[in-house]
Amino acid sequence: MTLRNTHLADRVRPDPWHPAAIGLLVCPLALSVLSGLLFVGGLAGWNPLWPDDRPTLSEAVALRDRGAIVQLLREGYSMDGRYLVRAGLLGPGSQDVTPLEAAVMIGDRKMLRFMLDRAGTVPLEQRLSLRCFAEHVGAIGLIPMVDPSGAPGPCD
Amino acid sequence: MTCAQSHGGTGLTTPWRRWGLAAYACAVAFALGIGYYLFRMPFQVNDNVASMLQLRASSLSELIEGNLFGKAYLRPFLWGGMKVLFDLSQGHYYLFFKAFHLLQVIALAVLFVRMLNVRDAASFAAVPLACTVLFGIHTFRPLVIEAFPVNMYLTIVVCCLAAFNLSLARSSPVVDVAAAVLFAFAALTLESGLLVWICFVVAYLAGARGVSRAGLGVVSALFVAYFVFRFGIAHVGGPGLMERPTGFGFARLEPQELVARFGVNPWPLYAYNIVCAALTVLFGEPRRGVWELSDRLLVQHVYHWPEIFGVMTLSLTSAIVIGYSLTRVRSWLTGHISAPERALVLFWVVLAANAVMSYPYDKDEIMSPSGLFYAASVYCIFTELVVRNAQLAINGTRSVIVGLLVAALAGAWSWRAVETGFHLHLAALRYRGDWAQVAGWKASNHESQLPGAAAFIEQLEATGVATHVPSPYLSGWQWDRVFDLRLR
Repeated sequence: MTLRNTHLADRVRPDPWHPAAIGLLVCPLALSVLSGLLFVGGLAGWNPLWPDDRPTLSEAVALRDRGAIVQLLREGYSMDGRYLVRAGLLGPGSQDVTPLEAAVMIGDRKMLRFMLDRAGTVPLEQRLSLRCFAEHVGAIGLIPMVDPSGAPGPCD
Repeated sequence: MTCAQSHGGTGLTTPWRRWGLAAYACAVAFALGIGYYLFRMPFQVNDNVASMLQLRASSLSELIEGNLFGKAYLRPFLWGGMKVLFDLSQGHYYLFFKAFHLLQVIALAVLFVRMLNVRDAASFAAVPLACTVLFGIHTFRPLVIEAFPVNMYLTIVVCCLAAFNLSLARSSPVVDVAAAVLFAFAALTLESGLLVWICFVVAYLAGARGVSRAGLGVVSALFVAYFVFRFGIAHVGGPGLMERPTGFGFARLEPQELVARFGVNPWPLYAYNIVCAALTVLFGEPRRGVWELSDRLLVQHVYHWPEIFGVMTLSLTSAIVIGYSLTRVRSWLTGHISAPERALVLFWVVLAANAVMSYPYDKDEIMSPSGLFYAASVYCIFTELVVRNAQLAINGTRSVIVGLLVAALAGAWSWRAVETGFHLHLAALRYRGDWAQVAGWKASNHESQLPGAAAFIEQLEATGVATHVPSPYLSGWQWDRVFDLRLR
């Protein structure tokens, strides 16, 4: 095979301001500039895409964010505490729930098991309360996990 | 006019330097954007921790020897290279391996732009688009999402680019030696490193004579020697059906299922994998051998618009690449391949070879060299589009319509490049979650029983869990409604 060296651009002067060239350029070039700014800004502590917005323990459960759960527990968050969950994560309004209640509300067996493992021995009174909560929010399938005794509970 | 003709040969004049530097700056900026995410991503647990424990427990010679005469895979330099880096890190694993990962991405960006040979404003205009394709195509994402602790698939992509750039260099004995060393390193790192030989051969046939005939002969001899050693001396063989799961039709089949179904005659599966590997680069469907989107649309009647949008963007671009190539194929077959068109020809050859290499199982990362040359092809064709428009003097309403259509496609690719960032963010979230459950990994992996493993894992775990990774959903925005964030 041979190499052909025909450079029509030498004869036809391309117009860099043609609408096709501008259409080709604008979006990707803007993204390139933003990418560079993101890295440099990140070095300087500016993190628009990585905000320092930390979830509460119950929010971390609602988001199924196991890493945040472990980190918050290590920082001293209590499994028994009630924490605010902002609107949109467990429903349209904000909620004040315990981490275990949040796990029941999202109806995720694996997450509930993960939380129960970290809760250790849950007192009977708390188990019954959680069972009633599960009934209340319609998470019937999770009841055997929160109350393995299976005895009918006095839920009002 | 064709993209063969669209590059001005102005030499090392001031405009060349100005637009060339602008092109490098643009591509490196994209690479740094990837770096922003890389440095906020914890190490992954699966595959990576086991690899690091093996690197910690074995010497360099043990790792190279063990992988020189192994079964199914011949990858001594994969382990040898990682061991060298592991020892060089001197315990600063996170900083060292993340920095190395970013360096590889920057090398990819720089070599990519060097290959494009940007000479003027018109040829620069398509560079940012080519970069969005390079960093937005699905075959690129695994190269930055995963690391074990080095992503050697990314290394191979860089090697392919280095090979093509060597072919474009001024011919000298140093270039020939570099070509031989590069091929030997790539081929003994991963099987897809054999594509480096393809790059040298196609570039030579297309007129890029940086590597001389003698140099190409040496590389070709090494290529033959590789197979002689692999099959005749070390008896490494090739991957069989039991190596990995792979997709077939609408489902993913585990090795046992593959053996039950194709154990007697695996050729239909191999042919299927080869065809699917080529299709995934051009159309984004199937993925890993599974016709996921078709299943969702035709069987489940689930319409996930960001996914459809992504496949349409890739398919439309591929239609342009295929259409343009068809107009040029007759010229290519008669030996007329111009300098800028080499990347386009190389794309088709690498796509075919890369697909053949995927015969045992389909993975996006195996096809990443094809994705790289796909981006170069897009550059070639869209540069021609811009110049052609200037030449034909399309003006008035028609020029605005053409501009809007091109802007829509460029915008769609920009969207996909942003999506890559989201994938990196979600991978970071997933990896930190994996560290929260590392006890389960320890229980099921024998590497955790190696001497000193417990303290080593504890050290990595402390960094992994402590990494700040905010959930993108905490803000209440439903990002998965606008981006295709399915993890595959």
